[in-house]
Amino acid sequence: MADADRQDYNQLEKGDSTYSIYEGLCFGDMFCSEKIEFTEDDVKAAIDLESKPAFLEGVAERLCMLGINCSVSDTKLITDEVKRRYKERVGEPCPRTVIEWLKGQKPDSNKRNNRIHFYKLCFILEMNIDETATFFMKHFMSYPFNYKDTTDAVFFYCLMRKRPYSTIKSMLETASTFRAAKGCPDHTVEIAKQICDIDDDDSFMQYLSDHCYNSEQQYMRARAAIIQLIDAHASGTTAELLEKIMGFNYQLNRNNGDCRSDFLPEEFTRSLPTDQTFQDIKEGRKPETYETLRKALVILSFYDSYVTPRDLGEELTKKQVEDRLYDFYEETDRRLLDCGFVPLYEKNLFDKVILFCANSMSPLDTFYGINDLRYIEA
Amino acid sequence: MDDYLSREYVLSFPGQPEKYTIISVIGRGASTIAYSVRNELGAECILKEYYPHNLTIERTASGDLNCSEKDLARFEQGKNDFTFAGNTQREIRNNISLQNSTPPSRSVLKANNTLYLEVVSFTGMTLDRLCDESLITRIKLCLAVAEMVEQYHKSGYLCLDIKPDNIFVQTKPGGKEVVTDFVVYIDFDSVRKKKELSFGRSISFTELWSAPEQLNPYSYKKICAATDIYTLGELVFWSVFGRHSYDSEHRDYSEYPFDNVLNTETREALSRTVIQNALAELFHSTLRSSVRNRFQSVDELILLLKKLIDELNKKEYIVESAIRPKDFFVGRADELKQIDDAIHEHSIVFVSGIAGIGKSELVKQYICTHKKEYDNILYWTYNGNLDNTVASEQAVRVSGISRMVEETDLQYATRILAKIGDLTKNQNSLIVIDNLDCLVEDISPKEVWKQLQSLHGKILITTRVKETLYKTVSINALTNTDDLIQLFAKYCPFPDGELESVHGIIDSVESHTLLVELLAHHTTATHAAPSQTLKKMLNNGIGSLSGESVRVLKDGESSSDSVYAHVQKLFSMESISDEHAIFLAMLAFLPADGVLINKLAAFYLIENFESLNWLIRHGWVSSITGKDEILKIHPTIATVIAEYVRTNTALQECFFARSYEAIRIRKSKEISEAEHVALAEALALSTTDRYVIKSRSAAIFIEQYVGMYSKYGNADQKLAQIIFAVDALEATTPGNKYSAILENAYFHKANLLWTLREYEHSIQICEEHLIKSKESKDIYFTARWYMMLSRICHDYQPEDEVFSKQLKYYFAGVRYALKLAGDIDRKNPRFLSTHNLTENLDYGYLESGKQLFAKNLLISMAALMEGQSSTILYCSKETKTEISNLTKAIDLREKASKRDKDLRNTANSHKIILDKARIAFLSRKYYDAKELLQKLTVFSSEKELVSTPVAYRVHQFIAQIALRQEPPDYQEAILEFKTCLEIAEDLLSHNTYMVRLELGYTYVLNGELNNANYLNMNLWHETRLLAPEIRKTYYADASRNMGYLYYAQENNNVARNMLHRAIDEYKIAIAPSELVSFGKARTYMILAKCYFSPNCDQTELSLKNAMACFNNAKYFYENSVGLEHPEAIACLEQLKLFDAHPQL
Repeated sequence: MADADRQDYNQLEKGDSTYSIYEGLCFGDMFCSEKIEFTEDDVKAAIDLESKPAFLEGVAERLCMLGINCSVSDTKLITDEVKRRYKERVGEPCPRTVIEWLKGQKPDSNKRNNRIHFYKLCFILEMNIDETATFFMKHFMSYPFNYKDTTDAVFFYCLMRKRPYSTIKSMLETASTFRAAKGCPDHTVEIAKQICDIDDDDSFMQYLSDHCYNSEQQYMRARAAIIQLIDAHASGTTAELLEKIMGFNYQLNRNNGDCRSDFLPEEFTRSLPTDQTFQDIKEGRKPETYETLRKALVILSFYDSYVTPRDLGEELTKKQVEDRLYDFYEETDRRLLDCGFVPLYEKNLFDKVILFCANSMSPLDTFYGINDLRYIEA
Repeated sequence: MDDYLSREYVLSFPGQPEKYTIISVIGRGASTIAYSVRNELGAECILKEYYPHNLTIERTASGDLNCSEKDLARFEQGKNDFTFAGNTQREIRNNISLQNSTPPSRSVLKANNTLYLEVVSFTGMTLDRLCDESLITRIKLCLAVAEMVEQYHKSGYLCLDIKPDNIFVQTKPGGKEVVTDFVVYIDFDSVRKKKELSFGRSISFTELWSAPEQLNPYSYKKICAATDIYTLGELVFWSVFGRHSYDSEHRDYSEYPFDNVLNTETREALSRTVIQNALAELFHSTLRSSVRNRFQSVDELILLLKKLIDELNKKEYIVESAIRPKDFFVGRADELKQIDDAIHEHSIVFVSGIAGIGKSELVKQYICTHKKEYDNILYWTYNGNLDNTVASEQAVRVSGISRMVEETDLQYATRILAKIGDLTKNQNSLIVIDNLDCLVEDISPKEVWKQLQSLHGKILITTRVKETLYKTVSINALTNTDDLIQLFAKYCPFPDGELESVHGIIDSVESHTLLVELLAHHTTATHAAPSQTLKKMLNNGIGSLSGESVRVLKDGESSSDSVYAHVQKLFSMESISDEHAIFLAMLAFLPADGVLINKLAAFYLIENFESLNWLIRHGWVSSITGKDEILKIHPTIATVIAEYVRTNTALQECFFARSYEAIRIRKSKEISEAEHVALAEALALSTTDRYVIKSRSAAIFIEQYVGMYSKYGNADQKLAQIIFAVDALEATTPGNKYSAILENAYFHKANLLWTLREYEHSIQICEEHLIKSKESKDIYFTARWYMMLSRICHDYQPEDEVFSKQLKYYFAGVRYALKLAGDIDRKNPRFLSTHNLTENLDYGYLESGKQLFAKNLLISMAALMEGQSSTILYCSKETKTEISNLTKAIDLREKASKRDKDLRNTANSHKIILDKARIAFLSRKYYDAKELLQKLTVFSSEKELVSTPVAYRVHQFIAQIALRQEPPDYQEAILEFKTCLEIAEDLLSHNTYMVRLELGYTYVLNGELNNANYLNMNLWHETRLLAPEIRKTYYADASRNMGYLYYAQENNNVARNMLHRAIDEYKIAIAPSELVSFGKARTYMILAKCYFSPNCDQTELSLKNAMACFNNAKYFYENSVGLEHPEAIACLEQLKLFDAHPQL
């Protein structure tokens, strides 16, 4: 995994594929953007692009690299080849879900069950650990290898140590019987480091058995981080805090029914935290989804970084904006990783909007402006 | 058994000569245990044992490590890493440039089924174990670490696990003092070359010390020199604040809690803007999440650390006051810009606006956003006059310069500004005067204003007055209602339904910031809804002030009359109790820049804080929290409270009675004498100058204050205050009725006039009032006037007959005093009957101390006799007279209290012993004198009275005996002088010049030239800046000491210059004549030695000069201590040598 570096992903060459169109059409050059307004046209363009087949583009591109000349429109050819490879490389029929994706359905990266399909698909397409990571980010719109998850950990270890599918299968079967361990370290980075240290399958399985996390444990750290950020900024109710962060009164606008959700892409609006989410997290009630928790952490982190009262009356230089953006990027990544989430990813529309705002002269105002687009009267 | 090897365990290695005996466990890492051991050569060193804590391992009784089967593979893999680290260490050691910072290493050794590595064999400890080191030591160690890291970087290595546990600090022999210019890195598990980093290979790191890229497995490629630089920044942060940094402290705009540091010395150093800016720059360039935002090379960090150390090394620096803006600030972006523009174009800028509109807060916000543009921020809150403002203890100070209790505001302000001028001449300062309530032309004293203007920097002044001569930025009410709604909501969150009422409240007070804030506090504290508050306001007339506008401009001056009226009405609306009002009055009358809560509690002996907390909750008092909590009242509220005190007689009496109790005696060690005096002075000044309360209770308070504090500070100011009190008492005493209270005020007035050498005026008052007291048959005051007259006549000698006049007054005073003394013992006293005192003589509060009158008179008579004997020089030209006076003083003291004849726990008894010792000393019975003093010392320590003013004098006296006896014992004298200084420190007494000058002189006599140099040089610099009245002979003495020191260093030319300077200074010194003469005599003696020294050419001219100097010395000895003084005898002997000199 020598080249599996985030910088490299960011520097992928631009082509005609969807991810680069997102970048160019919607948001301009990511860093050092002069553009500080997010217009309705931008949003519409983004929504149009959501229907583009990013996943199929990736599969077709990969098959071409493997010597099968095809394009996105060659659905049958692609499906047949994938089915064949499933049978040949893993000895299993291609799952229905994957077939649906190959027919054009958009894979939902937020469904936990889909991740095993992602990994297997990468495996049958003969990707190494670096290529798997890249494919996840470019075409599944997700980040790979959540080390706290046993499935992710098994694939990470086996891809890194180049183990055959039989080993992966056997490990996944064994791991499914593990019960959640208590009191083990919950630092994601620490876990990654320890897995990297292991070069022996039995030791790895032993480690996995001792460090198996259920979803509740996985997000314990995330909840603690969210509560810490809420407490740092909440001077009133969670609804008031959310209003300060988002620039609108969620309750008021929702109840008024004047929300035009189609104005912003679903990928942005879906699972956005509400005041109730904050309240539930604070009171230890069962959190909603992985995506909600992650988005809550990102927007709180964004607010924490950019609510800077001392900048009053100060005009920031372009360099200052840029420096702050990089700090925000790294700090949020560290928080996300620490909590078992995938880091910020510019190809993810939500992350991209946040980074776009962070890259403007007045990040919070820009963010408020975008949120206002949701509530343009129909 | 324990998982570490036990003490005395002997570790040997098959086939190897090495052998180690365990001394102790000194630390644990993730995969190692570090032991302090003794090696086979007997040297102490550190031995690391491979012991990974995340694996299941047990130690057997023999010391072997047994790893569980499941972890065995990882255990073995870890051993390889340990060996790798050992090899790395050896490789680095071979690299010449790192030899100093890398311990010599032996091979990795195998034993106990694990591995061992000797890492260091110096005396010292790891950095995490150091405690109580000063800030500068900690920063120096950080510099040493940075320099070591730089060496690693230059050799191609990254450290990647820098933390205090991995830094070994050497200690000097004795083990206490650390070596600051050299540290050793002792953990090589993570030391790597950049090219050795890869995704799959993990590197040990410690989360709290690591840069973000180390915590992100995808970011390993970003690991570089800046990764270590982040950790170095964290190390500096930890060294300064004693904790790790937070995420919010990793940004380019992050601010740091410099005034929240617990250690007083560190906090004082950190109060300096230049230090804060350097540290902020350091943190902004190291503690950044993004690699690209950090320094890219350790060189840059080293430069900054060196700059910081240079600043911290400065012995003299400005201690700035902490500026704490409110955490909530809205709007005013335009005004901030206007201030910034104005300050760039003009050297003096005024920020003007009506009371409570937010000027001060705006300026504080400006300071916080522009701090890095200045080297110093000198912030003063105007206290009614400029000298008092600058002299305020809570404002700007200079290290090493403290206010002396006898120093006036003007003297101290002038001295401190002169020093600030010296220290800031090449720097850019921002000078802020907050709340100046007069026009520039009315600023008093003018010389302080001129001094302030001469400082190098910009001046920013907030004022309610419209100043036309200077650039002014006008501040009006906030125009954006949303800002005010936010402000209201900050202190009183409200539901949407109440928005209209909040608008109503804001409109009612015409968007006045302070009023909006007070009303928000009121609403929250009374658990009311804004609509209820609005209703209450209208019922109380707030917002319906007959159409008056809150902002009225008249004659170029902003008037805030209706703002005060609004606040007054709000005051009534709040139903504030008398207890609350008294607390508000305390804060209104104490310094305008606020009072530390612990000082306030110590001053007023407050134990219950309920009322104060109520006032804070309701917004009347601001509590500013940093390391210490400061209580402050807004100037507008203060003005309203002062008016309330003026018009409410009962409250006024209660407040002044409580204030009298506060100033009467310092009851707590929480507050120093100087702080106590400063608070008392602020109360008095507020009464007479700031709020001008001319009532009887205020006058009595001022009279009591002047009586108790006449020896402190500015006599002119006190005279003005007592005149104020006399006028008020005259106005409130019916007809020509005799009043002892009024007489007492006149007595203080006469006393102050005497102090100011206005003798004739003083005598006139005494004689007039002596007649009055005789007519009224007031024996006590008759005696007092007589005694006062005798004292004045002692100093005032315009005619020959004065001495006899003094005696006449003196004996008359004694006669009346003895009458009183007899009266005390009577069953039915004639003169001291309560009826007589209160009904006929109006003794009031003076009556309570009547039993002490006679006793005090006798004691003051004794003091008068003692005053004839020189307490300063411990010798006299008229020994017999002195002994006679002291014998009389002892008689008087024993008469005052027969029980004090025996040594007991009273000042009178101790002074009897001191007088006896002085008699023995003057009779050259040094042994007897010392025995008496030692008896007193032993008694005091048994009673735990070690640090008292008497003890200070006793040790000073013993030191003088040590110097006088034959042969002199300089060592003992030095020890005794040092004890005096320790006592002075305990007593928080600042004027120790006499003792320090004597110590400086004795150091030279004893040949301790280094100590002499340090002390005398400091004294020379310090005394140079003292005002002439305070300077006395100190500066001349310091110059003489320096001259003597140069002479001792055989630098005769410089010595002579310095000694001539000393003589010039003696000529203009304002001090008793015998003290000046003695100083000159000593100086001429040394000067003579310079001309007559063996190492200088003894030309005829130099010999003549020397002889002239000896003759001068003889003359001045004769006029001060007499020719029987040992130094005078030495002088005479030298002169005899000259008589026989062949060249003369």
